[in-house]
Amino acid sequence: MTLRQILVVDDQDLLRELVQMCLEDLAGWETMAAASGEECLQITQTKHFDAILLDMSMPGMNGFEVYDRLQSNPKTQAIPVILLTAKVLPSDRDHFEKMGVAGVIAKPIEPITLTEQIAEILGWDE
Amino acid sequence: MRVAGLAEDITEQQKIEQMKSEFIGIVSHELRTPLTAIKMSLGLLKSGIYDKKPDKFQRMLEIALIDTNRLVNLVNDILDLERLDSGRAVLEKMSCQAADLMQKAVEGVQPLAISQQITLTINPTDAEVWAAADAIIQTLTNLLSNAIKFSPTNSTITLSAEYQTDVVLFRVSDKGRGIPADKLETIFGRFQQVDTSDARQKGGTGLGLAICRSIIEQHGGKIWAQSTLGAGSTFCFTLPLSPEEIA
Repeated sequence: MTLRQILVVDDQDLLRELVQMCLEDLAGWETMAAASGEECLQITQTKHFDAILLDMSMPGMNGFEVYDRLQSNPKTQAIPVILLTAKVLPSDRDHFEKMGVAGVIAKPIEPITLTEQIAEILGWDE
Repeated sequence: MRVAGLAEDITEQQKIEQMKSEFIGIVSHELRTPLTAIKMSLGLLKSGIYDKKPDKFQRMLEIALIDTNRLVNLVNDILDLERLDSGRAVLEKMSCQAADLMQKAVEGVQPLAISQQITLTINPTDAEVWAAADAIIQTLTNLLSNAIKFSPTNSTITLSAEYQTDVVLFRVSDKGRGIPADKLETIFGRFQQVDTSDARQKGGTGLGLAICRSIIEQHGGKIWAQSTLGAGSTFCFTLPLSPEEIA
């Protein structure tokens, strides 16, 4: 099993902790956390990640803005981004697809299948 | 004239509808976040992965409990505010000693203050106010809890009251981080914390000051905030004197 490095970006402390626990304890992946979009952009400057789980609704810089910034930076544009969001209408899905995100996972998150969903989106053979 | 009146009514109605839908939008977000955490922590517990890891098992329960409390507080505050604003909560007013109300509120928040090493001092007045005691204690408790949350350790919070011409002026002063001038008024609105991360870090529901304002206005009083950034804030409100005091 490859050791995966995932960055979890969410402004809600407890949710972030729970997502990290899912990834670490169910799949054995390594995780780091960012509590804001700003922090995400900072961390990705110095560390490499195999994927970013990005919450859409955050105060300050929201998920869309963070995604745009990641995309416009050659250093981070190749990192697959999965959006975590409560808003997943069919029109949202189209919009997300056009944006080029790797995938979308709807909140409330199913903890037991979360890592399987991520692996499937990213084509990881775990 | 009648047409103009009707048009105004419709605009007013539309405004109310818009406010309602904004409120429901925010409430559903505020409800969904703790519900998501509860669902995830219980789901992980049920999966059995932490059956042999007591620390993590305990942490899952703790998270579920923290967010259950958050939901309970939020639902209570929403109901309180709805009862006050719809006029369904009739505040039965009577003559009350201002000093008694202050003492009771301080006793209630004392454990929280001690846990943060904050000293509460009272400068009471012997004036009597015309008030619904429980509602005023709730208001004072709310203002004192906020002051404690935003105060540095080892600082002092002062609760004072003074007799003015026809009202009693209450003040809760802290030495916290202060409030920017452009937020002094908006913080009394629903879900309008100074910093959006406050609800999460300080544990508030974002409705406390809206409840305080509603209670004070139903007493015919006024409530407002004064602040110097970096030096502290003072929340003030007035209550009418008891009719006996005026006579």
